[in-house]
Amino acid sequence: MVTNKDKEQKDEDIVLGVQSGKIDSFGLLVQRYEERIKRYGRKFLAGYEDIEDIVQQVFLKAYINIQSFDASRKFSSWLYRIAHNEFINAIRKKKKEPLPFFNPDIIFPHPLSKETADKRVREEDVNKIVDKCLDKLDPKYREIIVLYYFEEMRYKEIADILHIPVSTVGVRIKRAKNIMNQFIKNYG
Amino acid sequence: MDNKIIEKIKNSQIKMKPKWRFALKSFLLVVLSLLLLFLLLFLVSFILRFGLFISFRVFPWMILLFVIGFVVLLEFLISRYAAAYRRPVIYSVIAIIVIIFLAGGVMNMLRFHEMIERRNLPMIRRMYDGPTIHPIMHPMMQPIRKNIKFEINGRERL
Repeated sequence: MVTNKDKEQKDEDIVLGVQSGKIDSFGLLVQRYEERIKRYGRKFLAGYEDIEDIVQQVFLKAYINIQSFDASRKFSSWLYRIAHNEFINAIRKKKKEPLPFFNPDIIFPHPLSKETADKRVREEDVNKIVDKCLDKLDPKYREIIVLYYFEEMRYKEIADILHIPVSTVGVRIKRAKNIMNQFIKNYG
Repeated sequence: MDNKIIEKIKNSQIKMKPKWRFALKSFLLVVLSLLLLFLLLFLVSFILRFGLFISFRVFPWMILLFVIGFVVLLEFLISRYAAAYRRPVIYSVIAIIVIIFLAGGVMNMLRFHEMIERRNLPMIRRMYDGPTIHPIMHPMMQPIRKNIKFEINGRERL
C-alpha cells in the first residue's frame, strides 16, 4: 500500500526500500516515471510500434537490476540509461535505421558552449518546430534533442545517460540544430 | 502499468538479481582491468628495457598488436565509469599511456626483468633469450652467426 508519506519520499530513498524488500514501493517509482519514459520513447522511437511493451520492459529491467543501483547517485539518470539501452535494442531489432558501431565524435575534445537558464527558456519556444523535424534526424541526434528539449535535461545528465563526453552532448545538439535549420530553410 | 508490473513481481514471474552478483561482476571487472594493466606494463617495460629492435625480434610485430589491443580493451573496461566516459576518449587513452610508460620505467629501475630472467620461468624464458644475445649476434653479423652456437646455463641462445 502506497501512503502519502511514500509520495513525499525521494526516488533514491524509495529505491533503498525496494532493495530491502518493500516491493510495493516499486509501483510508486513506476507511477512517477511512466509518463516521462513513454514520452521519451514516443519521441525517440516515432514510427515504431509496441512502445508500451518496450516501456514496460524498461521498468521490468529496472526491477531485476535494482540491487546494482547506488543510492548516492541519481535514480532518474539510471532509469533513463536503461530506457536508452532498451530503445537502442528496439531500433537494432527492427533494422529500420542504421546505428553506427562507434561514434568518432567521442574521441576528441570539443569547445563546450555554456548552458544558461534564459537560453533554455528561449529555446523552449522552438519546441513545436523541433517536434516537426525530429523524424528527419539520425537516431543519435534525435535522442539527444529529445532529452534536451522535451525531457529538459542538463548536458551532464545527458552525458550520464548516453555515456558520452559532456562536450560531445553540446556538439551533437549544435549539429542537430543545423540539420533542422537546413530542413526548415528547404521546406519552410 | 504499475499494477501489471507489481503483479508480475508478486507472481514471481520477475525476480530481482541478488546484490552479490553485481558485486562479483564489479570485482571481476577490477581484477580483469588490473590483469590487463599488468600485462601492458610487462610488455611496455620490456620494450623500454631491451629496445624496440630486440622486442620485435622476440615477438615480431605481435608485441605492438598486443599493446594496442590491451590499451583498447582497458579503455573499453574503464569507459563504464563516469570519470572516463564524461571526458573525450583521447584523454583516458593518453592517461593509460602515460601511466604505463611511467610505471614501466619504475619497473625497470627496480630491475624487474632481471629478476624474472633469474627465475627462469618456463613460460616466458624464451623472451629473455633474445635480449641477452652477444653483439656478434646482431643481424649485421648474420653470415658469421651461422657458424656460432651459444650455450648459456645449458640452453642454446639466439
